[in-house]
Amino acid sequence: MGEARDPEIDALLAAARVDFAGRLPAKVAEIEVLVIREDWQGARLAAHKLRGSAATYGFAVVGTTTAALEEELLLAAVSAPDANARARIAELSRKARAAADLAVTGPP
Amino acid sequence: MDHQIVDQARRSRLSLSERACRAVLCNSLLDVTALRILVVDDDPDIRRLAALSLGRIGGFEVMLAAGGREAIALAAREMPDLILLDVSMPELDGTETLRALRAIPATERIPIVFFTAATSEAETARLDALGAVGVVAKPFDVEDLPRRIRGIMSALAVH
Repeated sequence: MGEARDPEIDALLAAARVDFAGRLPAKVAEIEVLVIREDWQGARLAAHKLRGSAATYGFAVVGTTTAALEEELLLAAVSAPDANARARIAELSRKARAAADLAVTGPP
Repeated sequence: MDHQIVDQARRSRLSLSERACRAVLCNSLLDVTALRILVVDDDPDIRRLAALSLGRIGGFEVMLAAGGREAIALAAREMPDLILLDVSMPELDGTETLRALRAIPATERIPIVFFTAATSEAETARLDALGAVGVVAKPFDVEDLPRRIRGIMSALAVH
């Protein structure tokens, strides 16, 4: 997230990042629940939101994975996904979950 | 990127508020301490980081709204110098909020910058056509965002 000049700002940014990381698994879980319910549009909107915020907070893998997930969910929202599309959605959800878990336990 | 911002501002029919213009005339660089920005985003995590970026790092006075309706009420009451407006929001989205702000005499001339994760050329052109003075992409860099906003406001003040 760049080098802040003021240590107080650095501390605020670090605290915000830790707080966000701690809530990342729940955010991915929210998408997973919507996918299970086949609420494709709701899941797409949740993925869209997480795509922007995760990358802004510095969690690039979560950001890119949820961006790919959003693309799949956009198609699913237009027409019911077939088995292959469902498999891709499941795999991307799994990757997003793994990246979110790593953000909690991984290095800052 | 800066020349694109200036070009967008040049093509805009909007002008910066008088208060902002005075700040520009008094300083070769925009005196952001006098300027107030309304950040509108339904995601509290984005609002938090935008407030840190624009307020603590950029030195702007920052107001926050969680949705379009709240933004309209706040803008009419507080008259910010610029609105940073999320496109994808529930209930009243960014484009609907822009149209509502343009329909109110008190807020019709407040410059609006869209804030979006969808930054394809077509989408940027669509937002530009709605009368936005700029488009800021998500994810954003907390160090860079104030510079982007200063650039947009300076370009508006010049033109």
